[in-house]
Parts: sequence; C-alpha cells; structure tokens
Amino acid sequence: MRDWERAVIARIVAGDDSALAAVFDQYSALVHGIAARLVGRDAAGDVCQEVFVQLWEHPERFDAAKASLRTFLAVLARRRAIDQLRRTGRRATNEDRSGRQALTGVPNLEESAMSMIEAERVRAAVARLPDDQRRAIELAYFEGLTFREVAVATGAHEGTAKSRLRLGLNRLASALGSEGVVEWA
Amino acid sequence: MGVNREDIDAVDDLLAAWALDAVDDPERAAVEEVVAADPDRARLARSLQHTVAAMGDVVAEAPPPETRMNVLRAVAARGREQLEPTPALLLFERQVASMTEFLVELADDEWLMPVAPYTWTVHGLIAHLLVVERYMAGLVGLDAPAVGGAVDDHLAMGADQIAAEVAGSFRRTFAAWKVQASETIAAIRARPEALRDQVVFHGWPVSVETLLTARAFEVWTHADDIRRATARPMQTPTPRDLRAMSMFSVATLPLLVPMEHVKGPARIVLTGPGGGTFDLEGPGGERAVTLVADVVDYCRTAARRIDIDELPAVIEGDRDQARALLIAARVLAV
Repeated sequence: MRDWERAVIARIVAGDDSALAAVFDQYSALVHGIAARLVGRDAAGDVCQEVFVQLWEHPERFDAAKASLRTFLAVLARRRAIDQLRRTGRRATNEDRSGRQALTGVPNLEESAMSMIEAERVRAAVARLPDDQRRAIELAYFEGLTFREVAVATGAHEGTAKSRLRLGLNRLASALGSEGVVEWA
Repeated sequence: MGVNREDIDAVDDLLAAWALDAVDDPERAAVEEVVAADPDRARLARSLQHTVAAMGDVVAEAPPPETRMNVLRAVAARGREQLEPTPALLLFERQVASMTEFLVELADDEWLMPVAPYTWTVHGLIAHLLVVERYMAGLVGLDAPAVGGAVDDHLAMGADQIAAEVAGSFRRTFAAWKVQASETIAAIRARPEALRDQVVFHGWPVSVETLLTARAFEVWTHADDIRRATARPMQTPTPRDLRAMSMFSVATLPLLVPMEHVKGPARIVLTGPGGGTFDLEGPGGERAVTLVADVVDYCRTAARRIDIDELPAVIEGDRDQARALLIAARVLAV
C-alpha cells in the first residue's frame, strides 16, 4: 500500500489528475464520512472537495515516512471539518447522523472489505473502553468538542476530561496496534 | 490555558486531545512545536493520529457523485505549475561545461578505455563529438572544417576525421571539441534570433533551438557513457535540464510513432524532479494508454541506455501503444 501511495503521489506531483481521481476513489468515503459526521452531509461535500484539492495543490505535504495517505487525509478531513464547525457553529444534525453506525454498532456493508474489517476492530476496541473514556472520545471524535467542552458536557473537571481522552486513546492505540490496524510507537 | 512550551508534561497531557483535534489553535501549535523537536513524542503522536484516522473507517460514507466531478473540475481549473525548462542554448552550454569539467579529471590511460555501446575509446567518442560539433557549426553558418562521409548517418559521418584525431593526441582532440562547441555557443548567443532558424540535421528539418536541445541530450548521454566506462557514478541533470530534454523527447513522439499503433489519446506521466504530464492526441475521445515512468529513466530509455523491457514503468491501457511510444522515443538516438 505504501508503494502505491508513493507512486500515486509522485504522479500527482507530476500533474496527473487521473492519479488524484484514483486517490479520491480510494479514500473519498473516509474523508466524506468524517466530515459528514461533524458538519452534516450538506457541508461535507465542500470539505471533501477542499481536502482533495489541497492534496492536489500541496502533494509535497504528504510524507509517506510519517503517515499513510489514509491517515494524512483523515487528519486533514477532521481538521477542515472542525475548523468549519468552530467557525460557523453548524454541526451535523441527528438526521445527518441517522443511518450511520455508532462506534460500537454493526459494520457498514458499503465499505471496502479491508475498511470493514478494520472498522469492526475499531468498534470492538472502543466497546472495551471504560464508559467514561468511551464517552469522552465519542464527544471529541463525533461532536468535534474540545476537551474543555467535553468537560462541560460530562460534568467533569477539564483535567479529568483530558485524562479520559488520553487514557482512552492510548488504550485504543495499543489495542489497534496489537491487531495491526495502526502502528504503535 | 496556554501551554508553557518548556513544560513537556503539559504537552504529554494534551497529546491525545491534540490527536482528536480537541484543542484550540494555540494549544495545537504548542503541541506541534514540541512534537516536531522530539522524535520519540513524534512517534507517539503519529500512533495516536493513526488511531484517530482508523476510527474514520467506522463512519465512512461515499460522497454524492457530483463531489468527484467537482473535485476533478477544480483540479483541472488549477492545473499544475510546471518547472520552466532550461533554455536550449543554456542547456547545451551546461552539458558541454559538465562534460568538460569531467573530462579534465580523466587520467591519460582512461582516454584509451572503450566506451559502450560503441567501438570507440573515450578519445574516439570525443573525436566523434568534435565531428558532430563541426557539422552543427556548418549548419548554423560558422566557418568550420567540412565533415566528410555520409552526413545523414550520425555515427558514420566524419569517420576519416575521427580516425585522424584518434591517431593524434587526445588533448588536442579535447581542446578542439571545446573550442568548436564554444564557437557555436558564442555565435548563437551573439545572434539569438538564430534559434528560430530552420536547418536540416541528418535529413531532419529542425529549428536551431530544437537541435541544441537534442545535442545537449547527446552530450549528457555521452558524458554518462564515459562515466560508466571509467567506473564513475552517472550524473543526473538538474530538474530544469531534465524538463527541457524530456519535453523535447515527448514533443517528437506524435511525429515518430507509427499511426497503426495509435489506438487513442495517450498520456505520459514522468515522475520526479523535472517531470510532468503530457497528453498526446489520438483518434477517439477516450485515452488508450497512460505510461508512467521516472523522468531520468525515461530520458535514458529514449537515449537507448535503458532497454524498453528494462524500464521500470507503469502502463495502464494499451501496452502495444505504450511500447510503440517508447520505440518512437528512441528513433533519434543512436
């Protein structure tokens, strides 16, 4: 996969828009899904477009030695969506979130086979988290809340909210790392 | 809260919130500054980012079909700013200078080493270049010694003069080549409009500008031939020089590829510094083939220094057309 990513980025750098189309076909569901969960389906298309156009304009910002293209695009999608969310205050509605799975729900059959397997592992790992840590991570991940907002939403101190995010995410990283879903430091 | 940048504990405390984008902008900047300076924390930060990215698989949802079209339209509108190619005269001058700098390093016995793929020694190859320089000088109107033999045959022309040079001193041949190349460069620099003059080089009508690019390509290739023969590392031209040479090569393809092999439009994607994407016309609207190769490898293939079958290339679509394009790219090389 890393070889494919390096090759496709080299083609994008060379100005081959069909390579960008290939990246879009591979990762647009990931990018769009992340954005839609935060800013709603109507605005997610714009975020999705911004992410792929940014990849086209600045392919050199992707460093295959540091992250997979999937991680790079997922981080970019979250950043863009959260920036928009905090700028406009418009969040995804319940309708936007309907039909989508909770972190511990059933896999989406439309996902690619690999993503489905990984999604299932992620759900299982999240389900094993203590309730307070899972809730903190879901609020930060799905609602785009800052740790301070997580603290308010859960009635906890800021330090406690930060700790829950840290403990929960480290536990997830360790669990997913041991299953080969993510690289663990 | 504001992070004391000296306080690593505070950054460690924020790392997970940062990976989840659950921090404000100053905190994000503070974390990233610390992470950038600390490889261990950078690894941990990457692991947390991978984890957050993996969570994206849970929410993956295909965008509406028009998003793809909008992205590709936006990209097409922006295009890709490509590197400016080195101007032809400067390109030729630089390749001559590069060859000159390299040749002065050679030991006397290295001038007698055979240079593949030819039967010449290093001395003989420079004598050949001297003959080609004289031929070109004549084409651009300079008073240069006439070249004997079949001037439509790049390797055979001036055979007697090459033999005479090889019978003499390599220092004299080297000096004569430098002088001849310098005179051509100086003459064209003095009269830049000469770049647009049309000349006939080995039976091919070309502009002087195109001829200079082709000759630069040749000098670079021969310099690498000699480097290989004398066990020295080959040299990659600058990106702008590569851009000029690859543009020249690709521009010749529509003229040189037999039409019976052209099933449709073709795209050539040359990767690496100095590369670019080139679309070649063909019958029908749908692209028949995309050929992807490293720009240096492509240039060496065009120069016949890499076999077509050995070229590390990705071919999407009609392989016959891709092969025909690569064969066409080599037509001008000998």
